[in-house]
Amino acid sequence: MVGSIKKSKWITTTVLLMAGLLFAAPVAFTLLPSLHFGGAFPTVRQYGELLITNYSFLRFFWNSSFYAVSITLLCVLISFPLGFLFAKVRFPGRDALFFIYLIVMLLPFQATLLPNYIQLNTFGLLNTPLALALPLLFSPFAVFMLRQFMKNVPEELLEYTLMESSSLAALFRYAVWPEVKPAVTALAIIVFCESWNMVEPALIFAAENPGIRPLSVMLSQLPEDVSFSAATVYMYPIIIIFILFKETIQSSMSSFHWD
Amino acid sequence: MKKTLYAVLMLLPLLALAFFTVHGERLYAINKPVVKPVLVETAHVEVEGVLQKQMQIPASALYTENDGVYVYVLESQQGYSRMLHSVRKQAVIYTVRPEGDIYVTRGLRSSDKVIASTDSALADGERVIIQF
Repeated sequence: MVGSIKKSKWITTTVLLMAGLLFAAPVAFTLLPSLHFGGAFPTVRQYGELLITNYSFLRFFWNSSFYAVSITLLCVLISFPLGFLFAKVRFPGRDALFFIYLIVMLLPFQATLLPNYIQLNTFGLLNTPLALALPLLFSPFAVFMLRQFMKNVPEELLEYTLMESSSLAALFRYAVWPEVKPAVTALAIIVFCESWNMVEPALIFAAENPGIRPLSVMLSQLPEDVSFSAATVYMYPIIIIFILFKETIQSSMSSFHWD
Repeated sequence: MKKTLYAVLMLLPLLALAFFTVHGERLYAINKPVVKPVLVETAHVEVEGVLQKQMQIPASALYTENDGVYVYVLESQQGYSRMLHSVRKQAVIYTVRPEGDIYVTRGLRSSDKVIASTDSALADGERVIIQF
């Protein structure tokens, strides 16, 4: 009996290890060649070439950082009250409206691309940084995710807080925020990764202004000899964020409920 | 405490990126050889009754190594904020005219620019800064 448990544990570890290696392989195959530059020995010369000879590529790194940070902050700020609205406020047509939200969430970005383009063109925002940020700010997924977590906030807690103070800010600050903090962190990370990796909006909404594009689009245009180090620099913020907030992501994922 | 240390260590590369954003262009200018390119002059020379296209280059552009004579040809490509230049090592065959001019008979095209002078040694494929 003990032997079979030990054996099954061993098999589980092996399978998980293999799956882990499979997922780590692309990262390793980007990191390792970035430490080679011509010669047989590992060297950081490729990074030198990248940061000095192709120094202007860093402009796009900061472009990406600007988009990702501002989109993340504003998207969370916008989705927070909307999530509360769908989770706790009762009004006629709420469920129908939420159903529409769900459908929009399931639409791929390419499906809403043309309406987005026409709208941005009408507002005269094409080829400006706002054209890249605005479509990502209003994310149905963010609203949906926050709504799911806010449904778990007990009604009694809300009522009790409303007895203490009638301000909505106080309600959010003292009753809702402590309950959904891990969810907001996880959402912020997801939105950050999504906006860091945006390709289609950058290619289409900034077609005539390459200077405002994020790094995700410009990566392919770097010289071949520095492409691996550039990809490593590109991956770096995402990996750092994942390592720093690993526990928050795990805890919020495990407390996620669909209904 | 340990986590804060990790966070600080992980954010250090970001500082490095910020440093290179500010000082990259200066470092680029310091580290790369400064070269002076000249456009080759095309001449049509009659050799044994046949009109041949030859390229006149300055004598300083020729380099001799044990395996032959070569010049460095300038190659340019569009970078993000400006043109990026590099040099290509090109083996040539040349003749010296009676008046001392050097004419390349094989290895160059009429639109090529050769490096007439440089402030440090060049290598094949090296990025350079241009001084006119």
